[in-house]
Amino acid sequence: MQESTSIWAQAWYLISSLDATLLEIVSLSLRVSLSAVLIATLIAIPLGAILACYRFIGHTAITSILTALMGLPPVVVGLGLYMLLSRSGPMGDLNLLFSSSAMVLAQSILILPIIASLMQQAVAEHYQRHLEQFRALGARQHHVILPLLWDARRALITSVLTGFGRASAEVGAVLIVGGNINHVSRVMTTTIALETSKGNLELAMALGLILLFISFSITSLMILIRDDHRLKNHN
Amino acid sequence: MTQLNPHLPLRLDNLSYSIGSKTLIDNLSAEIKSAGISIILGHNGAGKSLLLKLMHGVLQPSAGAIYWQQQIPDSDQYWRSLVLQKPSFFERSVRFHLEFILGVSKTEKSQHRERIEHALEICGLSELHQRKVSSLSGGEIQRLSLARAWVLRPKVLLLDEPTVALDPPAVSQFETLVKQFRDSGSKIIMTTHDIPQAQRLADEVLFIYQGKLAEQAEANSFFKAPTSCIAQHYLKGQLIAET
Repeated sequence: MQESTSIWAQAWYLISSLDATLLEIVSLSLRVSLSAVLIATLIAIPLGAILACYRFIGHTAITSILTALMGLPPVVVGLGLYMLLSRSGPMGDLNLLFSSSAMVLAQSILILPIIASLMQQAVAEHYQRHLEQFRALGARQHHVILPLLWDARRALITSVLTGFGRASAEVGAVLIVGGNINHVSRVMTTTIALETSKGNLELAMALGLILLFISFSITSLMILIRDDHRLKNHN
Repeated sequence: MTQLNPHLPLRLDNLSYSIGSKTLIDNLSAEIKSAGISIILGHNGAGKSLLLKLMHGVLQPSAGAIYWQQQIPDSDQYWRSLVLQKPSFFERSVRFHLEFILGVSKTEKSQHRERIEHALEICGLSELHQRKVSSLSGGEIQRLSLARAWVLRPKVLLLDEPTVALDPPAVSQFETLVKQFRDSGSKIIMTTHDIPQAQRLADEVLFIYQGKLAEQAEANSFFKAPTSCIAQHYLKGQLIAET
């Protein structure tokens, strides 16, 4: 009990004293996850909107693949990417393996289907609701995509936050392609795994608390956005 | 009103519309030649809205054809506008919707401002132009729907039971607008099941029953002495047995 109290106290001390190692890990984690979210979002928004509004050959296949990939096992992504980026792989010349860029790539691949699928659902819901009106107005898909994205902005923010939550909590893929190298590719999740195995629970606990804080913040933000929307609709 | 409308006559040739095995518009033929207001009258479920949507081109007939002055309607033509019974809008301002439809119809930018101001003024929405649609009343929303159609200066305005959810003052306001549009030379084709409204507005009546044209007549003669048995029953407010 005493040991447990001591771990909590030291973990809290690491956070409150803004410990340099802790800050470095948190900072790299945020940079990697935010970059991954940015890349995935830039691809997922147009992809989701196009899938929501257009019908074309292969539409069902792409939608099914995206939906299936929402539950993509991170270690499989890590393994695939490892094979691509390793020296003997087709992208070995880029020298990305065991770098933060490889981790960004891994997280982008993991969250792209999530954001794109959620976007597709949200925009499709709006599109179907207006479809007869669009036909009556003679409006085509390319006329309505931007206004629809604006109407679906809350769902867009929620899907991006979901993607960020998934990216920041990810461990398997970034461990494989990042290598968990000190000062290079050590992020919160991989550090927690490493430090726990070494018995250094204070740092692991401190990082765990920060991860929990991020997770709660994201959930609270999503609830705020949802409730704000419901309140406005009600009024 | 006998102004020439370049898109008339409207000819419906053996028009049918089916969903699955159910025929909703059944081999309907008619011709609308005159300007003014043609009212498509009939009870709920008679096929009025479907017929109007077929006339516009939003729906394609299962069989038969529609000709506006010998032309088949095309979705890229903006000489006709359709106001739906339940119009939908983006989560944007009143003005945005008018700008949007002018953009869709590729109306010259230089005309946008004048057209929007005119449509807002005539529909009594000038004060509300920056308001979000979600904050408008039912009557204001229907007037916006009309403004959105009117901003295109359509030669033909198709109205699908536009006043069905409005209170009497809003209905009166709406009908005044419809008459103004007719007087400016647009052909109005409107569906309703409301007999007094049809009497107030109609120059011509097409009475629809079970997807078929039961009667087409000039309004005065229709309301004085309808020739079809079905229309006589309807005007007396009697229930019509389903056949």
